[in-house]
Amino acid sequence: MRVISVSRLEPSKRPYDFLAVAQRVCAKRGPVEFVWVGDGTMRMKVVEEAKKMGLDMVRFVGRLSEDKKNLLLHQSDVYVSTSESEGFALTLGEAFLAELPVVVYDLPVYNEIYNDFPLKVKMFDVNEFSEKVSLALDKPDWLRTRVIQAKRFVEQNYSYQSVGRRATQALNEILKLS
Amino acid sequence: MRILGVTEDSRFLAGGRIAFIKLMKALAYAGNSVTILSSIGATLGVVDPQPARIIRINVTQARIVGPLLYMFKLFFHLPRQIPQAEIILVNSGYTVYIVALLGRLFRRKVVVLQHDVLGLEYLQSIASTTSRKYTSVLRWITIYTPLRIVDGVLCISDSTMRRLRGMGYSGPAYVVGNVVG
Repeated sequence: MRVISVSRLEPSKRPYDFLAVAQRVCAKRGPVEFVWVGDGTMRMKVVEEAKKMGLDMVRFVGRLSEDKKNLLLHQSDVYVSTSESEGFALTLGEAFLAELPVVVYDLPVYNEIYNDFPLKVKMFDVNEFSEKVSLALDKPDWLRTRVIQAKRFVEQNYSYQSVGRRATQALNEILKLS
Repeated sequence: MRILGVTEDSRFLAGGRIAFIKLMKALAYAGNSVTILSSIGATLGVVDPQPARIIRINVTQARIVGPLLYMFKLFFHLPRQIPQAEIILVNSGYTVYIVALLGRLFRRKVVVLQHDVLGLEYLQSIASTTSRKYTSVLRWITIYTPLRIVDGVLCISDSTMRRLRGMGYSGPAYVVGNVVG
């Protein structure tokens, strides 16, 4: 089983929380692979911390091409984001397109963008986060249904066509303003 | 519509830069003529901008020196590209000031694509070293102060628009979302 996160390794993404969640999930369920895709200024420190914590099942694979990233998403079971601030969270949408359940901290922006499709966790509560990841790994039927609905929602609202149409309209209106 | 897009890039892959190229691509799919001006960086080979055209300026990937060199080179590239565009869309970041000023000079409307809106206090709190604290102040100034002189803002979410309004921005703003996939 594999849990994946795609993000820069920066403080606002809280990669240490990712390690704490990995530790708790593996302690409860046995070996589950945790993969972080993305690079950043914290990489050395976080890799070192994972070693110190003895987390052999955590891998930091760095930056990947879109194709490789999407392949890895499709080969995973759960998507997580421990970020504490987001403007949109593009990768959540990509995870839904790959039909993955998503576990995140409860940021208001997620409700605006993805309705109630992600599984939300109280801010910085790594114990609750681990429990939700475990739940998602069990893949209950209600969660599978929710993920399929989320995929359809993303396809309808965030396609090239729908965003291109909205942006063209906005730019035209700005051009008309004196 | 003929649109010029301007964005920064660096050796680290950032969602905001990918989102910008995808938005330009979406605008091209919607029937607009789109050219993107960017630097060499992590998005190269990651996102295919077609049918939008992209011009990548060659600069070093080093921190501070890379952005400074890119800004310097933009002073030569922008005057060639701006007259061919009807409107300029610039990705939120350190290039906004230069684009806004040159856009005014050439009488073209300049619109910013705004992603997350982060307060200075927050940026300071996550800066791990003294030099990063200084660069975060500089970054905050270069991102948010030029919003006073642009013609509009495209926001990726309602949340971004709310925070932008909370910071005092009162100009035209529209929520367009991001392309996913």
